[in-house]
Amino acid sequence: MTDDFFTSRIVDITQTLYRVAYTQLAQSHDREDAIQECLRKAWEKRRTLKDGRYFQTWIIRILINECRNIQQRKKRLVLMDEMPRGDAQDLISEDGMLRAALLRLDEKFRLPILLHYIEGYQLLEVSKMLRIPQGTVKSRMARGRKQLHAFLSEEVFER
Amino acid sequence: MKTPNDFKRALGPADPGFVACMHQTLTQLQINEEEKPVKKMSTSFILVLALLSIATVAFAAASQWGVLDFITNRGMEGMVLPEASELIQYDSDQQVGKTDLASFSLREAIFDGEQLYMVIAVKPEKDSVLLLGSDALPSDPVMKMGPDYETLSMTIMDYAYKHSKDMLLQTNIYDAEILRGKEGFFQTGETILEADGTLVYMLKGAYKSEQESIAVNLLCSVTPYVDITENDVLDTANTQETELAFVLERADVRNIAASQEAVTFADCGVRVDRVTLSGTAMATHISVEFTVVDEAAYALTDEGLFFEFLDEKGECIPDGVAAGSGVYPVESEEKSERKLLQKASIAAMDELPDAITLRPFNVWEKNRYEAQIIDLILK
Repeated sequence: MTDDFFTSRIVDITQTLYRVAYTQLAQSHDREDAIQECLRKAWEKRRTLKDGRYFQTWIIRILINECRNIQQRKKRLVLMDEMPRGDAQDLISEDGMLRAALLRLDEKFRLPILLHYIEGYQLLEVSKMLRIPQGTVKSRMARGRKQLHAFLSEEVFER
Repeated sequence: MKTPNDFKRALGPADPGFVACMHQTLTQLQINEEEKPVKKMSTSFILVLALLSIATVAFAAASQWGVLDFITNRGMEGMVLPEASELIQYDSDQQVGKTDLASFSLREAIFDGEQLYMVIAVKPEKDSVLLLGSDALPSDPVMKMGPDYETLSMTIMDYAYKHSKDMLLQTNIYDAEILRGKEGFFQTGETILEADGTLVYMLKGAYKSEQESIAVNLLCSVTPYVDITENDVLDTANTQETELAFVLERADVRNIAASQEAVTFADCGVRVDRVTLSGTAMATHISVEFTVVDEAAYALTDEGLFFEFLDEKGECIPDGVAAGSGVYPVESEEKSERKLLQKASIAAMDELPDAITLRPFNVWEKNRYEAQIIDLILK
């Protein structure tokens, strides 16, 4: 993998990386620490990735690990929305409600939902990113959808 | 119908700080690469205390939460046999963990020789204390705390203020063996705050043992928040610790079935040496011992090889309630051999089958490999 390929692919998926970090870490400085450490590690190991097709899966897995490292250091693993408390305008907006519903999901449901339904990765890719069996990914997505449906009183995503 | 784009819009674009941090890091990495070799990061291990992965659940209610209530509320009641309730034990001789602010005691446990499931009740010493699990912060929504709170739209600190609580207390439970540098067993955990203010932990993890009983030691701690109106600031100078100790008997109800002959899965380069099923009323635990016999074929899986377990109709059998699934390297007497062990659990069965179908799949690739039926002999 060339250095230019590495950099351009990272820039291409900036928004995806942001959403992965956002749904795991509430504080912006933690997200910045996570992406910085993720990029350093990925850069060091970039030549070990032989097939560029797996670049996104690989980098997201590293980022998830970094987010979890930060979570563990902070001794808390379920992090919620960092919307300002009492911001009623945000809570009643459609975007605010969607964001709150997604962040209200248990993390084990939230990441599979984000990666598969929102970011569009295949089940097997999600399984590899999260290091859990494919069947577990499927069941967590199903339960996550059920929770989202309950939170929003509306169907989410096409099956 | 909400679409992926609705959620993307709701999450918003990457904030400027995040984007700037990315660009600065990428730029710096490239400059370092051009000017001098990038200094390799230390690969030394950092010993990290294995803190519990605590996830709060908020589904249906139970007045006093027990092991099976947590399983039911995960929608997995069909994964265990009705006899599972007979495995529940209570240690009346336990050494209860006490601090000035809260006490920790074992409410229920199941130890089936393969897995430990424990429900620990934490009771505040005063009514004016509100207990939080290790995952919760005062600024979090109180609905996270359990079904008795899921209709409340306020933060935990607002709830505390409204109910005349004068102290918020963070609780933690650690596996004392890990703190002593030994292998521990915790793998997952959940917390629920019951209506009377008791905080309940459900902990589970792999614990394979042939011993008739095992001694469990848990290190428990409580740390007050500085003030219930302050945001998430812990008063760590006033942390109190205690130890909760008890003995659990192994439920002697296991059935074991194992394969007798090795089976080669040539297309992914491995030979399954042995498949063992250990059945309890809680789960059917499966271990698959396999050896890499074709390095080139196995390398193509890029360490992404797992086995799925299929039923008679060829359908994938869902996961069981046990924790600790995964593929682990195993030391081999033959240094040239590479041996691996996959641990998994599926639904508990009345009787173990006389055969099981294994299908390898590579989580990187779309394709699965050829499935094979493995004959089993009951022991």
